[in-house]
Amino acid sequence: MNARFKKEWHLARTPILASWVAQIVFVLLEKSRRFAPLTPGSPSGYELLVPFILWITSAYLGVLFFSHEFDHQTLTSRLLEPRSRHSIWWGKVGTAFAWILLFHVGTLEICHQAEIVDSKESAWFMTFFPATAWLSGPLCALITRNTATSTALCVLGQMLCLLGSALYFSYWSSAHPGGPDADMSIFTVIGVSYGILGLAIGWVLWSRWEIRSSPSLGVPSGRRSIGAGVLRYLIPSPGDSPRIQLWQRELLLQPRTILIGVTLCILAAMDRMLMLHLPLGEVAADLLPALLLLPSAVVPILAGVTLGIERSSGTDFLSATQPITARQLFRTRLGVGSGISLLLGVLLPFTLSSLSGTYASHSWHGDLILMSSTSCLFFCLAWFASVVGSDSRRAMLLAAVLPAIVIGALAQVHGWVTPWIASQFAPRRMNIGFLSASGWLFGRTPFYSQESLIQAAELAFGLIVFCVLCLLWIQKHGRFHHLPRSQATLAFSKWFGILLLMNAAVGVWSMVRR
Amino acid sequence: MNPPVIDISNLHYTYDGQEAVRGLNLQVAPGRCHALLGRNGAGKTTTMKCLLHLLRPQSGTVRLFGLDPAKDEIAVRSRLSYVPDSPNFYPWMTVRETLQYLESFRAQWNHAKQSELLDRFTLDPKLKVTSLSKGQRTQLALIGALAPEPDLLILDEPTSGLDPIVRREFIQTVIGAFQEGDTARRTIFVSTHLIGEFEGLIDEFTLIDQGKVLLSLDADEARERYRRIRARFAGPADAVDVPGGIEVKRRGREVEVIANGDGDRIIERLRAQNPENIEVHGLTLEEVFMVTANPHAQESR
Repeated sequence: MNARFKKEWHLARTPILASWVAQIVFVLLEKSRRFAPLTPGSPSGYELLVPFILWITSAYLGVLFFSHEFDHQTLTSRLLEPRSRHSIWWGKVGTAFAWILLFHVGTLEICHQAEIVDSKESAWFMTFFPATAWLSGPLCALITRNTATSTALCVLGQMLCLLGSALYFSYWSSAHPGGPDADMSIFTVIGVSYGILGLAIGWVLWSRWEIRSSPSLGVPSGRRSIGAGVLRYLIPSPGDSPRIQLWQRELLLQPRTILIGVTLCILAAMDRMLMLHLPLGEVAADLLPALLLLPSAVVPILAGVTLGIERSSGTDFLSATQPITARQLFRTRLGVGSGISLLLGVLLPFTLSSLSGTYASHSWHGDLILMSSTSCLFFCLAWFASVVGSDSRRAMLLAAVLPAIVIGALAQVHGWVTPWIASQFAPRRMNIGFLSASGWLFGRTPFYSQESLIQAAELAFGLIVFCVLCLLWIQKHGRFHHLPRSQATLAFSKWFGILLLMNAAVGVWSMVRR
Repeated sequence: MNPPVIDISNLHYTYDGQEAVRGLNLQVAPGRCHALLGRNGAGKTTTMKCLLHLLRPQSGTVRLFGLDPAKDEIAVRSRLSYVPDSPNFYPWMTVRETLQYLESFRAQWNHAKQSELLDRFTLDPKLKVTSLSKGQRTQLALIGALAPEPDLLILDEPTSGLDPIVRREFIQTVIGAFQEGDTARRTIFVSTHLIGEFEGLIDEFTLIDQGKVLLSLDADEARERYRRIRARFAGPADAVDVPGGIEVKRRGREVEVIANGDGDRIIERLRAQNPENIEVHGLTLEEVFMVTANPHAQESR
């Protein structure tokens, strides 16, 4: 195998294969009606998931071939190769195109088999994300110089482009009645134009690129500190108090999370504005649930992973070798990370959703508890991933995969174990909603939920126990620079087993009680 | 009698199947400058991380000041400072703020020493740490490590990014002065490849290879034990009978032997073969390292 192809395949295979496997699993679940919508006509879980997977994976592949050079600090050696910058640039852009195309074709085939892409509109929708990711990805990577942040920037840029143009067209349509209707084909053209502009700016940046800092640094810390610099003016000087120093430090490590969380909430608010303006109200209404759920997953994951980046940035020695207990460090991190996750990942989106009237009042409290506990799960697993992952890229991948494993397995408990238990023990009416922790996340229950507060609390209980076990482990092991894989795998399997057992046990109890 | 400052016993550490440290034993007495030497990948950094409890030993024990760093983390860490090989700082801080941050965790902080070192290194306290070069970052890390006046200074390749002038200043003036401040109490544990630069400072050293101790000696004893013997003969050197030695080179009429402890016996045997002259020198620590750690030298034993 060609060495260059082998390297690229090594980079691209994990996201592509993971996405395909996830989609196939969801198709199978769909076929076995695990994610069937509760209300007729509403989109199924898989239909909501496909654009999301396509969106994130395309953005990841779009930035990856540039950003990994920063992650692995190999950009200097790449620029010293006997090749022109022009050839390196187009080599990378071409490679990204080939892998995104492969991924897109594979995804379309899976969708075709699952009979999902059934209209011209959805076909355009599924073209918009890969096209804009491929074109704008290099610029995002060159701006942020880090895979995780550049993926987030690429995703936000796409969303802003889509919503911004939709908002503009809705105003335009109201000002020019009788004009052409805005649809996804127009948005795709606008998105591609945005991408081409991004590609052009990226090329200019690349052709003038200078390695100003030491090659070993990779990331320009000056640029990284901009967000922290802005935040600093908002919080008081810590003075000589070690406790306040630690709190301030933790907060200043999170500007990326805060920025992305606030941006996602702004996007949701823009979407809500669109809902008020027909004819795009329906599209906006379809998007809003995803936009409200996105912060509850993305913000805790970023907050959790950020806690581990100190090791890769080499600043961990500043705290780890000072006379502070590991427990003090852990508590501060937990306070700041979970605070940001709950505030920007749950409370703000919930406030927006209640303003938009998306929630029925009877399900508000129950879903708030469920969403908070799932956010805690995302946060804890991301922190666990950052402790176990050797670099930020691996940590980010693990942080995305582990919650999918946990929630997917819960769906299986719900789909397979509960009916079996019901058929074995009692022909009475089952508490179907009880074990569907994954179901509500994938769009099944949160906006149509009829479940009571107590039921939500029961469902949240298992997740909270899982999180507590995970946090106890992190407190004990989080400080170490290396942990044997077997040890981490064993610990995860143990909590996972406890979670599944608890779900099954409380499910049986709940059925018997009713 | 004071317990050893560092006491490592039968330390093992494995990275997912690859053994980095294998049964390492090491003791460092108070007031000594102990060098941990070894080739790349020998296990030096892993050993240091186990000392700092940044890695948990998979077997064996590590004690600092007679205490377990896992259980008595505050007591241990308040008495030590660490300078890594490439220190990085929080990008939003200036030099002064970084030092304030480090000071906030310490009960004791010598401001006069801090000012003196800032002047000596011509570091502007108002500079953002992002604008510092690698050498300047090392200088800042060193100031942060010396100002609390710790009992133990742990240095991991501290001079790798420094220019020769700063390096000499760093080693002789700064680190040397640190230990001279309280020779009975202040201990230095340093890992370095620049053995020649630290030559005058090192009291004892441990040479490790593939996670195991190859040699642990007092520096003076090593210079006494490892000797280079050059003998010049009237005839070709090939005909000379050389008894022992860990490395033997024959060039024309000259024979060069590196002796390990059996120098007197080799000199006596060479003298018996009527050389024109014989020169004997103690090896430098760098040369000791070369002949002990270099596999080619081992082969010619």
